[in-house]
Amino acid sequence: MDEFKSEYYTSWSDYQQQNDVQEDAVDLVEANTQPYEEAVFEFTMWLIF
Amino acid sequence: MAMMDEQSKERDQLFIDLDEGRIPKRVPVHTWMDVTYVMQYAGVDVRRAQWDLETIKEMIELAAKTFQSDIEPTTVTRLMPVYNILGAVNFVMGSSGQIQHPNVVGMYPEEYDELIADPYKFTHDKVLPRLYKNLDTTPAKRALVFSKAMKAYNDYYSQIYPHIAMVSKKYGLASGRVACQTIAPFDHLADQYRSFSGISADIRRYPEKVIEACEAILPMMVKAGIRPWSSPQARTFIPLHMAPYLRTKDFEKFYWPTFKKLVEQLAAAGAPALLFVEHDWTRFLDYLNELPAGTQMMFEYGDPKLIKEKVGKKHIISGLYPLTLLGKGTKQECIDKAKELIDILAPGGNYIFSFDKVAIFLQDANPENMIAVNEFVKEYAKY
Repeated sequence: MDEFKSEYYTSWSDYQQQNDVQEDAVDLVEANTQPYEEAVFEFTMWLIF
Repeated sequence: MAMMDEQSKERDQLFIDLDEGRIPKRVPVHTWMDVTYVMQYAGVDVRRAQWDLETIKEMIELAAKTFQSDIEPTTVTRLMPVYNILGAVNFVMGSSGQIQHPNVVGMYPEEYDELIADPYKFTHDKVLPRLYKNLDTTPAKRALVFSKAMKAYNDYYSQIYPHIAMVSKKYGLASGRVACQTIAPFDHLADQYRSFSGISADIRRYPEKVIEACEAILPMMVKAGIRPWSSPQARTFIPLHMAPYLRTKDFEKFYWPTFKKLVEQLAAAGAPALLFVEHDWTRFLDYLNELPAGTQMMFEYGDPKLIKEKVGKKHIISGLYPLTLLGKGTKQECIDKAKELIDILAPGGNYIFSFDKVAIFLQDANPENMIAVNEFVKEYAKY
């Protein structure tokens, strides 16, 4: 499956490359970062479906 | 409450059996109706009620306890408060209170390369400001409008979905059948980007660009169709639009390749599809049979015997019952039609009883006939 890429979408791997994520809090940072990226994506899709 | 829990489990099991290739105790019944249909049934003002979350929730409960579906039947897909914030031109309320979808253009033909380069960016930069006029403003104002609209969207659905789950348990119904929605790439290009007339011209003038655009859109459509909770029981709904309007050779060239990849990639990710096969796909039944086993196909039109023969061994069939018969037929005529379809489609399993459309207008579907038919199916269609 092709991974979804866009200048306007930050995947978790993109986020880790672009930010200095505290090693012992990776799980918490992901859980409190990525859902908001996904929520914007979901809402965007609703607007065009 | 314990009795209702048991009923929910029994009803869930009907669908689990189907999804796992077993013949269930009886044919499950899944009726679909827009929330505005329930509003008309309840006699409330449709124009006013669509602004009121509490009324929407009341309608969901009314439908759950009334229409004899095994799954909560209400669909709430269009939210007036959100469209109002955005200044939507693609979804507007008509004089009857129904949300209508005018033929709009979100993308111009000279913009194919920009779409192909980054479909998600292009959607935000170009398409959304054309479909939602309040986003066609300065970047700061656009961000504020988008934020307000997304907040309203989340406020509504964060109450609607748990409410559907709550009333489903309360009335002993099965869990919902749909986890999320996506669109076939060609349909997506046609629906809100290029319009019906635009895409019809593009496949003659810029065929290679259309093919490239469908390929470019595909990963976004795959992503839209997968949720953490996706499963054979919580499927990805895909309404299919354009294929019946295409010549077969254009279907093969433009529509089928990326649509097939979409359904295959969803299935591989544990998100099997529930296709709403709109209009008449008789020409394309052999293609549909190539899709991953166990894909659910809700047909609008076609010959039930041919559909059962061509795709009913490998896939789950639903639909085909003409909803409008409920509006003009007698109760007995409606029941006779249900019996006719069940006798063709139920043998061997792989069948969910559904009408051929989502009920929207009360005059199209007499609620008394709908209830009588669903009660009959549950009694008659036992294995």
